[in-house]
Amino acid sequence: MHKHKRGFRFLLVGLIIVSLFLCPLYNPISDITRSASADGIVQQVTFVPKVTPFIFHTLSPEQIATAAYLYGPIEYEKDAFYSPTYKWVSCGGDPEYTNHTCFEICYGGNCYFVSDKDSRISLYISLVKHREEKIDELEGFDRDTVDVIFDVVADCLEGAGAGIVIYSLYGIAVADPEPASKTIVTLISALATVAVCGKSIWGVFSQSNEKKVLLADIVSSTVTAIDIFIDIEKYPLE
Amino acid sequence: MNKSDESNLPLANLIRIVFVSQSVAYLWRGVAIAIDDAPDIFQRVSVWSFILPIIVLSLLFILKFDRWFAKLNAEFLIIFLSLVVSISTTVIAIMELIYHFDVPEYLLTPTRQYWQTISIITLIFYVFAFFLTLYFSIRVIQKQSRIIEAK
Repeated sequence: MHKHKRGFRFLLVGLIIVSLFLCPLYNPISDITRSASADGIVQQVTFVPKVTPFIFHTLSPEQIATAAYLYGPIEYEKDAFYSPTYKWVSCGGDPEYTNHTCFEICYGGNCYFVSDKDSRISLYISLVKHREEKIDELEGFDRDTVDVIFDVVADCLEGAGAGIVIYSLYGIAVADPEPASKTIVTLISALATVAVCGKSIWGVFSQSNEKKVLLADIVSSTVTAIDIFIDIEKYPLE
Repeated sequence: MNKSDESNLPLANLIRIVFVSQSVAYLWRGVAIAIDDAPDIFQRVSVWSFILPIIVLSLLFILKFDRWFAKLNAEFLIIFLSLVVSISTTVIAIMELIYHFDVPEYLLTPTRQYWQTISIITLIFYVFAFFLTLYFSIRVIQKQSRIIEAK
């Protein structure tokens, strides 16, 4: 029975070694390219872009999306469907839009063709851009926070370890310690750990606060962009 | 096992519990980050983050550091440090949970959902570690008071 167990363990270790070290060495793609180049075949990928021509649907601002219009108050924070967006589009060669930039702006399933003739559009686009930048920033920030938390937990554990080491070193250095000095060393060790762990907690708290500021910025730019969108929808430029 | 070792057993148990529970929770979080970065698993977590806790645990069990620390005659300090570490890591885990859940629905990405799940499991780990530490600390205190009473 014991022999079987041992054999099984060896088999398991063998399998892990094979999967860890040998599998990455085998790369089927490199084999294909190697054999192709050995045959003298030149490998070339031909990319044929498939471009959908822009079809000029409507004049500004008329609804061009097929999604149903949402009556009543809109909940901003439902999902990505309610994120205001914009897309640069061709003005379709209409002389009315010469020297202007045209966009398709969307929110809540409704899309409109608009141009920067309307001053509200520039503001809407700058807000959406700002919002997207902040969302990207938040993603990076979240990633950093995960790492920060991992590090601060390590700091706290190291702090406690250092506390024990300080006390141990003192115990080794002084064979028969006096009660007063023993109390002082105990207090120093304890306070050092509390300080390190307290700093760790404070670090996570600061990250949370910074996230709140970022979130507030995202929500405020989203809400303002939506307000402008609704305004454009209700009062289009004649 | 001699008499002195036997009387230090609850303290040695506490030290073992703290080292094992905190190391396991720490390693779990390291693995979670590594999985998040897969296939480049050591992109953000150094390989030493995994090796060091394993070395510490090995030293604890092979060289019996728990018994050695228990003989230091520093019950108060060890209980205090154990509780400070357990409480701190639990508080950090709670704060992390709040951090990951404090996000509007429209910003929920698969990565954020992954970290929400990880933070729940991490909190369970730390709460469990905290209660174990508390239980073993109480046992040490009870043992100490019994010794004082006997004297």
